[in-house]
Amino acid sequence: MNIFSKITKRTMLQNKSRTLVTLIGVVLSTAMITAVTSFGASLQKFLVDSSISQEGDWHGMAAYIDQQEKEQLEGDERISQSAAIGEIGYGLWEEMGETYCTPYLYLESFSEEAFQMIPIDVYEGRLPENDREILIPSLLSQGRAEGMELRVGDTLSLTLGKRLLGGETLTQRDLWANAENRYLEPGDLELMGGEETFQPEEQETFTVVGFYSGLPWSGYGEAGYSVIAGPGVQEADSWRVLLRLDRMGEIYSLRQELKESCPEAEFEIHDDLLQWYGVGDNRNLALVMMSLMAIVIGLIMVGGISLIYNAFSISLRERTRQFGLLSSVGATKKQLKKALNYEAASVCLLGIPLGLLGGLIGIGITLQFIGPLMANWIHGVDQGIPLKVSWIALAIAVLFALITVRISVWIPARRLKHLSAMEAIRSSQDVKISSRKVRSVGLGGKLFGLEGMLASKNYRRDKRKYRTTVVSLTLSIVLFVTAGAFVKYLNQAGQDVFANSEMDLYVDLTGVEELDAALLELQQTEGVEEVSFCRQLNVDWIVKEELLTEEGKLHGWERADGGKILDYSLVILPDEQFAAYAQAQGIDPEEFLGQEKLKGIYVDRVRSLDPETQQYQNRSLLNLQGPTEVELGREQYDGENNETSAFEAFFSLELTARAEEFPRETMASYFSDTILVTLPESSFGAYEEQLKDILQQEAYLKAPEHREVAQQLIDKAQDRNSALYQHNLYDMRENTERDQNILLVIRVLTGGFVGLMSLVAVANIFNTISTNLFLRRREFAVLRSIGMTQRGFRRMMGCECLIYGLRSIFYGVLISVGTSYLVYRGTSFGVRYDYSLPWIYWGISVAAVLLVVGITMIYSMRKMRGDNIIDELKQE
Amino acid sequence: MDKEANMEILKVEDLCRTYGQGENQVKALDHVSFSIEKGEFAAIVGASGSGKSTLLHLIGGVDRPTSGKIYVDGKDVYAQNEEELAIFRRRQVGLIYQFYNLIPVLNVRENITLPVLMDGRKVNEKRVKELLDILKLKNRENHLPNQLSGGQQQRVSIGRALINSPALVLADEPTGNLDSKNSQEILQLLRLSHEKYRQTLVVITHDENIALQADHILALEDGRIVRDEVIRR
Repeated sequence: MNIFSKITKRTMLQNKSRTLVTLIGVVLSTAMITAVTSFGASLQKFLVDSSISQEGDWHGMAAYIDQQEKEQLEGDERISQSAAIGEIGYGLWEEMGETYCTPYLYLESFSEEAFQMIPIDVYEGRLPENDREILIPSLLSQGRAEGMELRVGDTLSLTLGKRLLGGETLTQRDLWANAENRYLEPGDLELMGGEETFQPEEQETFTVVGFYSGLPWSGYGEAGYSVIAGPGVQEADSWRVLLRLDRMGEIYSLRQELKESCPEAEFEIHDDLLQWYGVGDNRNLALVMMSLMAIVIGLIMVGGISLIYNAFSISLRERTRQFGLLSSVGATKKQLKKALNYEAASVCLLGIPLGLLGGLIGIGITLQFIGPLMANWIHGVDQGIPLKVSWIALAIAVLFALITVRISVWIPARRLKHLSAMEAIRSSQDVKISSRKVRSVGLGGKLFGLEGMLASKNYRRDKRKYRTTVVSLTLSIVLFVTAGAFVKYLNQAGQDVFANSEMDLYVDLTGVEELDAALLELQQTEGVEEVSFCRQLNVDWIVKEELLTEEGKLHGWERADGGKILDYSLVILPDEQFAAYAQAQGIDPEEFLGQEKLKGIYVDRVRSLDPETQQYQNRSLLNLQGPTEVELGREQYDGENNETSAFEAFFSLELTARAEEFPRETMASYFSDTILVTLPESSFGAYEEQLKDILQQEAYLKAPEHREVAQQLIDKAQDRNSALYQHNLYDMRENTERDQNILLVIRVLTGGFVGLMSLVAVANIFNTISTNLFLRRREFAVLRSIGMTQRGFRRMMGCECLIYGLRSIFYGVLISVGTSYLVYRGTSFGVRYDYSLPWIYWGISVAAVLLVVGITMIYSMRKMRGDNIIDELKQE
Repeated sequence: MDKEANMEILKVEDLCRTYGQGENQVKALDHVSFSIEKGEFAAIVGASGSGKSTLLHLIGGVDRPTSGKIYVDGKDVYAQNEEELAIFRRRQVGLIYQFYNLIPVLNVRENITLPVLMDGRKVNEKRVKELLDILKLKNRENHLPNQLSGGQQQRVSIGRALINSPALVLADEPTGNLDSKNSQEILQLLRLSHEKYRQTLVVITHDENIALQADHILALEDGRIVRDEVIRR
């Protein structure tokens, strides 16, 4: 070890508290950066793994390619791995009967590689081992006539063949062209060219070896139910090939080439997976994540640099005399810089590994708590996000930590260039004699007497020393307020986006044969506290423009013969429920109940996307002057000419009173893109029969144990004997909890970040102020020697506190107005809400700054109280 | 070059040093010129504020003149760049301060050998031992400065100044902070090194006794040389 390193090492050991503060700065900065990068890596892995588990581990998929095209594709150099799925064909299963949407099964032979790439959820049985063994979709095992249920081990005899229409062979892209297809609208069959025919080719027998849930590419309304056969097919008319590439980005050029060479083929890119690798057109979310990480790392680096720079700056000031001596004995500037760099290297050697470890442990613990919440929000799964220790993430953390330290040392090291040995020995460098006269009394003196004058002069003559303190304090205020504003605006945006419903579960009872029995069954379900029933109807209104606001005029659609159509949602409540709703809105229900004339309470709060700003915002569409009569009905839509045609009127309705809240018997808060009108059943009764085919029936349930109740209702929906058989359920509470969870996650992460940054700030302030004071011990001894009392001393220190405290508060508040506005702009990207100043955070940060400064002063002064005056005066 | 010029170890030409600006400007040295021969013991005397320390620090390469030249052993001191100047301070001069100015975290031995260690050279153990003996610090070799008396610290400072056998030893009131007994001892040590190693010794002093022992007296007043007298050769 050379002499400079020796001197540095011993000096660091001698000044333990300053060395410790520097070390803490490095550890904290490294830990936070590690936490951010490891969190990013863990989240990315989770998202990638989730995507793979749900849709498979492939980058692209070419479908409807022939044998030659398949072989050509598999031979492409860019492809590192491929898996082929060969078409066996359509199988007509006579026994399907009327239970299902189509009589066809569509069989494909999966290769071994395909089973590796695609997750097949086999919930009963096993994977097929050859092309005569099949996996059947689970829904085909349900709902069959008694005695006709399929079981594992059953054999199926199928007539394999082609579907033809107008001489063309139909594929899974083509709907079943048959009048019995319930997915076809009137007129579709004519558009398709009539009914298809089935051309049988051979009879084959297959063994059912299991049941599975579904394939990633399967959709509703396909002509044949997808059946998975095992490997065995070597030649087929149509292939599906799954691809993996070493360079994922090349998938786009591959798609383009395939489009040109195989115009009949379809090429799908696994966007959901590729985006998490940061590849692809649709990488906005990944970019947003990386941008957020970069911003957070940037903030951490700023805080870290501030603390570490401060520590090294103080080190240089403390060692100025030492460096001056060394310089006078013959040390070169380069050697002195190396001494400073040795100090930096020492703290890095110890601090960075500790920081890496601390960061990993910290984020590991954090993920234990917030991982399940995040996973539930992202994918609705009950699992955590495991910590991924990524070497790249750690390397990035080390790199940024080194950069942070390097920058922190570089600025003080530049001061060495101008270090004069003589001035350093005399320690006169920091006090420059200015030609500008310093006022002898000034404001400080006028307000606080001699002590205020001394404090004020100290500040003005020694500004460089105090600048660091003021900058640290200002930065702390800005960071704290900005982070607080981030949480505040995110909460605000979240409240708007993540709507909260009073009820927990929704059950669709439309078409139920025995409504009363269904409602009774719901009420008797264990865990259900309350059942609210309503009917819903979507209607149209031909509206006059003068009844619309400017925003309202942008809504709706034009009629062919002029005029505008707006759509409404009507909620018809039983009278008791209606009365409760009206009263809660401060409206007298008597005006509405049992009236011949239909009167409704309307909510005019529509959330829609502004095409210019691309933000969702709440709008008011109506400009009504009191109760207004409207005629409601249904407008027919001419798809061919893209305009509306005939209007079928249903009834007239008076919009009598306006409410601000939606009734609880609605999910309009989720889908609030129409004006909602609530009516009592007693006055709507006359129209129920007329409109029964288009009226929806819904039940809203209050059930604190919503998950358990939901499971019971799912079981009932599959029970033929239940009045709720085949009726849909939606767990609104689950959704709300998921949304609230993510807000909680954000609060936790931001809170943790703010807490740690505040720690950095407090360490910074403590270090700066306490060192400033210790370096002035001789000066204080002089003051005491000429008669300044402890009280006077405290006043002087208090004035100094005020000077840089108030300065920092002024600059901090000013700058944080700008940064909080930037955060507001950043968080209001999808939702519009008003900017408001972060008063509370200002208040907290101001109080905290004054507190920390005050405590540091008191602590430092207590330490110096016992100093002997003469010893301090003699101090070199 | 004549014989007299060959024997010159220090030549100061028209040296000026001012501090500050405008009405705060202070002329510490005002066109000072003199020379000192090799092996001389020169004393610089003068009242407080006469510019003695400034002159010594300029000679030692620790400060920069406003104008003028300083030649040590024929070399223009301030024609060197920063790095060369640092090496000059390390090897060519030995500075002794009134307030010792030792490195607090280094022990006696380390403080003495500091200039050698800065050079990255191996320490000559014989030389160190010899100095420790002369300076009577043999039993204090591993002590830190805060474990030494004032006189002991000053001796360490002298040892540091002598370790590289510099051409010039410059002492700024080396006994100013010591009692009379220690002052005597220090002066004896300085004389010893001057005589033994034939080093040129330049001492700033208020002490008449020291001044009377010098070969060459330089008196400064208000930054100017008012007396430049060679007493004995």
